Amino acid sequence: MHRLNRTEYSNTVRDLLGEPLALGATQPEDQINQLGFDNDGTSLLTSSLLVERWSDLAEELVANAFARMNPVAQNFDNIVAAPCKTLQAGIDVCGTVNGGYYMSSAATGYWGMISAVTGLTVDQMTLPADGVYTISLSAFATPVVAKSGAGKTPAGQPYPVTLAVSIDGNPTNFDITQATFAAPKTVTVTGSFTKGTHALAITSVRDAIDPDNQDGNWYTQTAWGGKMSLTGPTSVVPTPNLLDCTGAVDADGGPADPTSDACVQTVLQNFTSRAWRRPPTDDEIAQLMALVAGIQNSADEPGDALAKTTQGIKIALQAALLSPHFVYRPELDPDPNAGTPRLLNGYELASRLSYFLWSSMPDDELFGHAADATLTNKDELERQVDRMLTDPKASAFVESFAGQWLQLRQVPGVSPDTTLFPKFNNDVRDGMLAETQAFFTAFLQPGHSFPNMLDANFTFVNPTLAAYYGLKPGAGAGTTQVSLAGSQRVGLLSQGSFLTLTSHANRTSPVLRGKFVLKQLLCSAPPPPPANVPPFNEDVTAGSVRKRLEAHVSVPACSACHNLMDPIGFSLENFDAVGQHRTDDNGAAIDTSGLALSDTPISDVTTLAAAVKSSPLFVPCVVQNFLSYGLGHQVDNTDDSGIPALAAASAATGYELSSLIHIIVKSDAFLNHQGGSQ
Amino acid sequence: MTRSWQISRRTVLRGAMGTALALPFLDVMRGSSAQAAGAQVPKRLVFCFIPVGFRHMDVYKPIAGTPYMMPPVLAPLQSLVNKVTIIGNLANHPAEQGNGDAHERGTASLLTCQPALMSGSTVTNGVSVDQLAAQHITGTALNSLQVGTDESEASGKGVLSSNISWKDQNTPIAKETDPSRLWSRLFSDLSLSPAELALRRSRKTNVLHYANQSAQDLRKKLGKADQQKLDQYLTGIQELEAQLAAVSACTAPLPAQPAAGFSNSGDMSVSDTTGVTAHHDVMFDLIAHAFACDLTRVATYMFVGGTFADWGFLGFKDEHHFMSHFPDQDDYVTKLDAICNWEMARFAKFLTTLDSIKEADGTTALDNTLVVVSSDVADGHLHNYTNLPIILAGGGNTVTKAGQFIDLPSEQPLANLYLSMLQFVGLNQPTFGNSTGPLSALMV
Repeated sequence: MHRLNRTEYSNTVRDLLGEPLALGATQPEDQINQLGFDNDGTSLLTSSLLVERWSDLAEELVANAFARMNPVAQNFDNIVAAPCKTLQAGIDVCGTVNGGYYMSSAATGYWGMISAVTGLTVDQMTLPADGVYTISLSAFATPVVAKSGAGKTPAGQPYPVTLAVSIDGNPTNFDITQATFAAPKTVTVTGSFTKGTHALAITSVRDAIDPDNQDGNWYTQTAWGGKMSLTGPTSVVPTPNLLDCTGAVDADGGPADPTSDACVQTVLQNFTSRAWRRPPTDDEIAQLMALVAGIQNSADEPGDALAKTTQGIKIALQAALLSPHFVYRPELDPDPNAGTPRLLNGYELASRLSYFLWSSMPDDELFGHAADATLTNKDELERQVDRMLTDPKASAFVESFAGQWLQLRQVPGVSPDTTLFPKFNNDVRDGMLAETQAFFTAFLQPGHSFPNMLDANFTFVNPTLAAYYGLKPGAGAGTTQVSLAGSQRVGLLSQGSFLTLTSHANRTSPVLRGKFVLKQLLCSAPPPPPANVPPFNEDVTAGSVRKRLEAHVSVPACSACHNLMDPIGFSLENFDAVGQHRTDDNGAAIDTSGLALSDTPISDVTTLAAAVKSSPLFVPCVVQNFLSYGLGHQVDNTDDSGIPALAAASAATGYELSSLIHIIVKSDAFLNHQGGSQ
Repeated sequence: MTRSWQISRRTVLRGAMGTALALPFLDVMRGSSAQAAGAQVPKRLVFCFIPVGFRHMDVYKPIAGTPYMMPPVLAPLQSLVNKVTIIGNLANHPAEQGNGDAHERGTASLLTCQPALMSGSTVTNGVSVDQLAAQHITGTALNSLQVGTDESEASGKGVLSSNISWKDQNTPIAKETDPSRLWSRLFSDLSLSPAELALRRSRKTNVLHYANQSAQDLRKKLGKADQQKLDQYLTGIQELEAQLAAVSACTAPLPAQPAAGFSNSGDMSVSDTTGVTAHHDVMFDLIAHAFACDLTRVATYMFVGGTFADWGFLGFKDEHHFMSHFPDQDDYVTKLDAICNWEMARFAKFLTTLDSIKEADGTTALDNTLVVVSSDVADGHLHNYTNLPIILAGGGNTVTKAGQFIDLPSEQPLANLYLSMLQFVGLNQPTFGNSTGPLSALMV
């Protein structure tokens, strides 16, 4: 039985309630299995702290959803009247805001702002719940045109005017130089904010008056804004109307009263059949209705019958979200002691599929095929897998599976020493993550053979990463496919993500690179190092990393494993700790002689890629990772594990990853509940 | 009756410890059922973990004398010298038999004194000492608190290195790392008016009862392994039910709720209100407040992990774990000492807070609490589990060698110290882990 991990919890409440915040991240850390996956039903434990979080989350989720069902729309208008003066023809300034720094035009509703005032609080936003809110306002500029060009702005050009919208002191800047009174610009800030009070400030950001501003008055070079409003909370995925009981009827056949049992029953039926990913039983609905009735009939609960019913429904929804049927994905055993496998029903299969490929709950189409029992039909199953893989929600598979198999989740946390590697920065790092994600995504498409990940002559770069690698960028500003022909790079093992996350901050680590290849790609991880290891010689004047490392591991207790790991890393020494190609290591020539993976000689990334690709361990290792993730249970590569058979089936499809997913989904292990044990 | 904390509750101050959460404690009258009128002052235990050992234990040995002088890196403890004992020559050999890397082995075994073994999807360890104490002490709202500041501990993420508390041999207990959530767990119900609290309790009781019933029904239809998983859930629900029933008044001033957004950032100055220093201080302070309200008597605390590198406020940005392997390189010695000094300053602040809480008999909370600090390994590079860094504080007259450095003449198991600590809270455990007997040199 699987409990929802952090990712699954966040995605499930997004699809169930439209919750935009990644609230699953507030669960205590998930446990991972030895392969490194966090979706293993056996590894994942339920601590009391987690149960307490689930209880609190249930309350927060319901409160947030009800807030989104009744979003606030607040207009800010705290202008104080003052004697008018004419600013420009048609714009009379007639008021002050917050002590005189602001002026307004009663006729137009606009305010003006001076540049030197920053972070001045315009107003407080009081938000009813945690969520995503949008602040919008209409703005225009009254720029000054530079006359001589003696200042920073060329003659004839307007001085730039920037408007800053600051929430709790964090500004978002907008260039509004071109916006005019006649054609104002609407600027919006959308962000996640917690329940409660936040300071909202509007500022005109402007340098000191330039000598070329021959007018010299601040108010003729400023931003004007007004008609400001706050809306929210909102979400991209729609929030369902949790009180909707369309279809429920009263005794006369008319629409049921919102406080009636018929209405409450429909509300609970609708919610639990999605939250629990299956239709609820009559008993289960009766138990939840008893919770609602308890509130409806309580003298201590405030409000009228409708208010009490709404409160009762909130409590019942909280209970449904705390229920083990929500936080786990139970597959029932009619006989707890039998231990014999049985075929999954349609709903159970729908959940296995959706958590495999989307890390979330099934959608309406999957529920439909579960309800009419067509999902267990293999042709329909194939169609659904293909549909799911092309759905945007399949990005969760790349994030979770590739994020753990290829350790891409660690990329955002890498912190190379930028004094040694000044070209590395956060944009490069983000480009590296996007590169490998796009590369893996490409291999999920039909027609790609996964062993070619190792020696692919193409990759995916944005302009920043293209420049960093010295490649010709693709079209546009995004991450696009480019050829590696003529470069020193080939395949996955020449990508910056892998090369950087397996390096130390100040130097490469052939050991970590070798360990990655052995553990992630060949599933033959070496054991951890013994105790009492003498220090590595960090003195760069003592020679190359290879020379120093070979001296370091000459002890027999060390060399047995290092002789497996280090040659792999040495063959990649042409790439430095931040994935840039190099020809020397601190002045010493890169020595890649005499290296081998098993008995295959290797000397660079090309020969290493070929050796990994031809290793008999590679295909079974990929299959083991996919199967373990897909089943949510670590499968070890033994003769009866099914891995050899799946590897053979994958060979017959030309090693397409999409076909491998189909093969796994149609396997007995995926289609059956393993009674008793799992 | 005027409830002063209702004001502070609405004044959400960021965790500037000197102000928002200062503890002007007078005599504290507590309301938990464990603390009936006239009963003894409660005895408590705190186990603190710092990652990747101390650089060469020897250099941290205090300078002999009475009272002894702390070496510079332990200087923050000097003002508490008469309530602190440093113990040499304690070892945790069972860690050597565990699997995982050296830091994982040492972390997982630190409070269990048994080897921790991971195989495929499952992990096996022992019950940790804090949990034995927690099972013994009943009647408080929470049987124990697990607090931390970071998810990546000594050597990164993973079940062996992220937890030191183990409820049973397969169940590590997750720690709370968010100050605002920890505050909510401890104090949100206490800060309601009696009417609000009654309504909330009634609603929540019903929801928990439903969850309990729902899990009981489901359990009957599950296979054996799944039943065990659901038992973890049921335990959690039952503990929440007990906690709800135990909620009662606390007349000690309640702390203000810390703001959201603690980041573990070291970019800002030490006085920053949401950076890594404030994060540590506010978590320690919430434990002290929980003790003052007698919400719990057992706590574990994990300092920011070995993979932390954002020491900008100390003037550098090197990874703690990485430096611990190369203390002879560059200026790593100075940096490791600066980290240790910072850790001891956090620890000393916690001890000082405990020492400011007056008990009914005129002693302080620190006098009635044994607080120990140790690490997954002794030396960050050697990865050894012998001569572990052990700093014991508090305990009042029970600790006979307070104010001293005790270098045991022959090596003893760390588990012996734990036997003595269990005795302090009234649990006479015959053995624990690889213990050979209480640490008689130290305590009455």
